[in-house]
Amino acid sequence: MSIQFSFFLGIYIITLIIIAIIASFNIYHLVKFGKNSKGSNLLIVLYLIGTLLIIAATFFFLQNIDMKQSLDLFNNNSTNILNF
Amino acid sequence: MRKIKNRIENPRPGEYIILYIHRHWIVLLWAVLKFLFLATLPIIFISLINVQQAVDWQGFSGLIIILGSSIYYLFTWLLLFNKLLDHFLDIWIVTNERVINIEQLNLFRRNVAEKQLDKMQDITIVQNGMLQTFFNYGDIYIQTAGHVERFIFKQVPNPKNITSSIMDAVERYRIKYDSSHTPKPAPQDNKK
Repeated sequence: MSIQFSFFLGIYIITLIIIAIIASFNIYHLVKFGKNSKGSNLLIVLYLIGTLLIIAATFFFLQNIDMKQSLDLFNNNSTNILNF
Repeated sequence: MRKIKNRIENPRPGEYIILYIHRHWIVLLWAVLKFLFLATLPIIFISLINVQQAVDWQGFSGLIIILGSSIYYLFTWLLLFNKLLDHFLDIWIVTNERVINIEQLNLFRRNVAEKQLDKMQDITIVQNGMLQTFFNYGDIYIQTAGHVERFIFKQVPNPKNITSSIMDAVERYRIKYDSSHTPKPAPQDNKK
C-alpha cells in the first residue's frame, strides 16, 4: 500500500480550513464588539499578516519536495518509512 | 471625559464615561512571552535532529516536520490571537450613571452586566503577589444590591485610583438624584 505525499498536503489544507473557521469567529467578535477601534483593526491586520507569513513559509519549504513521491507502507522490502 | 458615542450601547441622555478600563498590559506581555517560548520549541527540536543529519528534507520526514511545524505555529498563533482578543474585549466602564461589566468568556459566551451607581454597596481591592504589587494592578470587587451580587474588575491597573473614582462617581450620583428626588410637601386644600 502506498500513499502519495499530496495526501498529507490535503490533510494540512483541511487543517488550514478548520483554523480559518475558528479565526473567522474571532474576527467576527472583534469586528462586532471592537466598535471599529484602531486597536481591533490593528489586531486583525497583524493576525492575518502573521498567518499568511506562516503559510507562505510552509509552502516555501515545501517547494523542494516532490509531492508525487509515495510512501510505501506494509512493504516487506521497506527498511524505514521515515528514512532515518 | 471620553466620548460615549460608539463606546457603549444605549447611552442615556447626559451620560458620559468616567473610566474605560482594560486589564493591565502585563497580562498581555505574559501571554506574548508564553507564545515566544512555545514558538522556539520546534526550532530547537529541528536543530537537534538536523545536527545529527537525521532528516531527509526532500523526503517523508522533511514533509512531516514542515507540515507539523506549520500546524503547530498556526495553532499557537491562533491561541495568542484569542488571548489578545479576550484582553481587548474584556472592558469595565464607569459612567456618571452606571457601572458596566463586559466580559468575553469564550468564543460564544459574552457577559454584559450593568448596575446603577446608587446600587454600589462595598468596594474591595485585592492585590496578590510580587508582580501585582510592583506593577500596581489587581482585582476590584464591587458588592452590589440586586440580582448581580458583585462585579469583579480583573487585573486592572491602578486599582486604588479606580476605586476612588468610582466612589466619587457614586457620591455625585447620590447627591444629584437625592436633590432632584426630594419629595415636595403635598399642597394643602384650605377650601371649606
